[in-house]
Amino acid sequence: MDKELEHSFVTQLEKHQNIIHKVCRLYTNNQDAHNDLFQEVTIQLWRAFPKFRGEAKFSTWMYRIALNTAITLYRKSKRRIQTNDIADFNFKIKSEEYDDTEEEQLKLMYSAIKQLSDIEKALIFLYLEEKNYKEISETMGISEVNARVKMNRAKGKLKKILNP
Amino acid sequence: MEELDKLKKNWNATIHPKVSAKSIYKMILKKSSSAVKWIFIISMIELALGLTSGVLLLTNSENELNLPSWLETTVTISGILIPVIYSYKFFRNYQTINTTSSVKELLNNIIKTRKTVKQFVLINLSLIAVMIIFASYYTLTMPMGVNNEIAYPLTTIKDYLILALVILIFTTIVIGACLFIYFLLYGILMRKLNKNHNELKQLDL
Repeated sequence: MDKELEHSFVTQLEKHQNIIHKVCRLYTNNQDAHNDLFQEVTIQLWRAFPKFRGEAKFSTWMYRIALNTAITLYRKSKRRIQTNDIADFNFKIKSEEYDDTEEEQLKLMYSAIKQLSDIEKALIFLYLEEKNYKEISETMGISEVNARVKMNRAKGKLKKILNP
Repeated sequence: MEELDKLKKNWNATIHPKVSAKSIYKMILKKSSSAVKWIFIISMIELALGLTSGVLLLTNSENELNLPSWLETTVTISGILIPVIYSYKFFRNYQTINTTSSVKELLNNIIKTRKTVKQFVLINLSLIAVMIIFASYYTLTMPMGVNNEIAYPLTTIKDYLILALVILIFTTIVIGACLFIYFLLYGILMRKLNKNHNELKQLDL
């Protein structure tokens, strides 16, 4: 691979890396696993990059590969950590309006999402990314009707976890 | 859902630790540890083992096993044809695995590729089972060696039944052990893929 291609990839990835972090945040339970998945997604993106034609936005192209890696390719570490062990995660909210109670709620929400299946997590991720049902159905490879059904089930499941 | 909408509102405001360009350069030089990579490596080993066992069976059937000619011909043809056909099928299916496909398509393609090798292994094990049965039968009941001795002369129905039982138990143990290791290995590797695949498949039911 030539240097120019490498440079172009690294520059774009550096700019859009938050997408990968957000996927890793939902699919891993500790910083080590987060870094591990981040690296695997980066490797998969780099492998696919020579075929990236620029017809889709770089970020849209990233969504697919990042989700596919998390759902199908990534092999979790043997050391499984409980979902409430996420307190050591290094993340902050930019908004000044956000107070401690809201941050606590956010942590609970993340913890609840982590209890969903891989497929449900992907749907919630795409919902949070404000993707419409057409885009969600294309990314997941299911019909729009099924995407809606599955999304409603995932939301219902989240509600139950948060309000048992 | 109120809580989810609150998260959605602040979703893009979450700050994650930034990975530097230098670290990204380092990452792209690293080797993948993906499940597909392991499936590829193990499948290659299986195809190579299949080919080797085919060649070994061929050599043994001609020199030591004293098999009837129709069985020798079958073994010769299948020992060459099956690995060639399945290697071709495997590589063709492997090429369809693309990370830019939809989640469902990617899962389908990985499982299809895996199934090709699974079929190959099952056919090979069946062939080995047939070979064990015939080789045991001919070795024990046909005159062999310098003195043309018969290891197990069959005179009564009871003799036939005992021989059949011994061969059956021996074959079951050998094939059963192979299958156990095989399914244990793939059970671990494919568990996540199968689970996600089934979840998406159930939506279509």
